[in-house]
Amino acid sequence: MIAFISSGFYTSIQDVGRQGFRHLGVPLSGPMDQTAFDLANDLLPHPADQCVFECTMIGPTLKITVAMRFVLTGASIEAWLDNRPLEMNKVYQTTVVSELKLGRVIRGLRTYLRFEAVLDLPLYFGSKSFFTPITKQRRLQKGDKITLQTRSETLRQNNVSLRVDSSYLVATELAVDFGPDWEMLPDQAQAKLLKEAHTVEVQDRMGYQLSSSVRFNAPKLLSQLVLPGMVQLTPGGKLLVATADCQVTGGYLQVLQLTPKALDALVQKAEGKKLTFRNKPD
Amino acid sequence: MESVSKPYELIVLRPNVHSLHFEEKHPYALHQLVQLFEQNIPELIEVTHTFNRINLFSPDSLSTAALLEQLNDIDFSSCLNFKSSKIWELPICFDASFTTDLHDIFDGNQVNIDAFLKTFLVTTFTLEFYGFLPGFGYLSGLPKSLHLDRKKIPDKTLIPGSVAIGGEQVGVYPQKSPGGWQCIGNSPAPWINFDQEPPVFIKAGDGVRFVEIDLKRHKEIAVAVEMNVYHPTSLTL
Repeated sequence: MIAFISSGFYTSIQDVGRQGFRHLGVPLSGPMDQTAFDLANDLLPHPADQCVFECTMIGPTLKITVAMRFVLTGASIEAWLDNRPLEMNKVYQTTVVSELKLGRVIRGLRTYLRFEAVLDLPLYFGSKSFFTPITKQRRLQKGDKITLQTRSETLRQNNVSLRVDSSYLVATELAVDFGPDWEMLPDQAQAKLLKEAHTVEVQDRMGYQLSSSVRFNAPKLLSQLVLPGMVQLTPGGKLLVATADCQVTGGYLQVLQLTPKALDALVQKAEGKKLTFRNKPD
Repeated sequence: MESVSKPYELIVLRPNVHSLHFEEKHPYALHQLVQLFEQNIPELIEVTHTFNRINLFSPDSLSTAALLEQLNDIDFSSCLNFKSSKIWELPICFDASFTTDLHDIFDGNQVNIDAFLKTFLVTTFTLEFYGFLPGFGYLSGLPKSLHLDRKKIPDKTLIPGSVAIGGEQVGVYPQKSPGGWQCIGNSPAPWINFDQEPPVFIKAGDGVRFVEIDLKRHKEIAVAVEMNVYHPTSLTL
């Protein structure tokens, strides 16, 4: 069992998400940072469960009553297992009673904690990913307890030290492709979007709002498909970048599309960070 | 076989996500084309549509060229001249607490508000597709005289059941949400139930009509929904 002694700032459970239900208006969900999620699952694969705890800014403190392996990926974070400091991207093992304490992120914004186990959570549309109102819970709370099943095979010692390129956590130049409505923008507005620095104003799992000085009143648009990584321009000049929990359709001007790598870099940025777009491949 | 030119323009959103943008006034029922594509191109992971686009999610193994080739081989003619065979009747309540936006738009002129709602109630809408929120259906068919501009500043909260108009589009908010559409009434019938299979009862292409109820009936239906004993009614044509 995993018991939450403290919840951290915003911690949710995410697996690959809900591919295949957009026709019901159901968002994809899943991890914000796909690179960190994939790394966690590569280090501790399990055919029956790909769940991670996505920890934002400040991680939780957990009491764990099962011996099992775990790993931390994504944003580097202060972490201790029974007061012993932990490194990122390295597999550790809990004992029958352990306390795993995560502190503040050091580099990046979202840390992924994966246990080699099957979490006892119901599947909704084939996924355990938190998303209200599909799941009851939006995020984990102090006092929450999660039961789980560990692997039956003998635990294998894993001392592989992995070289991970974590430079994307602090990348400030994000690669973009042009979106379907790019050509509707006047040349001057196009040039501005690619030249100026944009500041992260607000962010959550649905999207990032970035500043811009571009003002463009688009003609009335019908709602169209929105994908994670899509950059929409509002009449007020805000850039809305869709992320994991984004609405499946929306009616704003679809000006740019972040590459998957650039999207992972974006979701590691907190409010106040500045970034630029560049139209070049990763 | 000579390939016939198709009435759409291809948009490449991602290497594995393509949209087919249909020209205005094309004769095809997009929800039927979606089914046709799913049957004929089994590799596709997911196919969705909006008012005028079909969106195709492909595996990495299916190139744009190969996808286009398969699309070109599909005969669209079975998706012409679709007529819905089912019309759902959904309750709507115009209690003053639900119609403040209309009140603002018509400056409190009750004659104009009543005329607006009368036309709304005799309109048969078509469910085009779901999007925005789980179970939010986009309805087409709103007469031009009822089109309402979106709000300049979106509302912080629309309550569940809000029946709202955004330009030519109509929808019912399935959950509490911020929104920029004009609210004209409230419908207590649920659009999606996550514990049921299928989770939605109104299918793309189905007709939808709104039937006026008073606040007392609204409350009764809300209780029935809460107890899971509410059943929506429909007419089969």
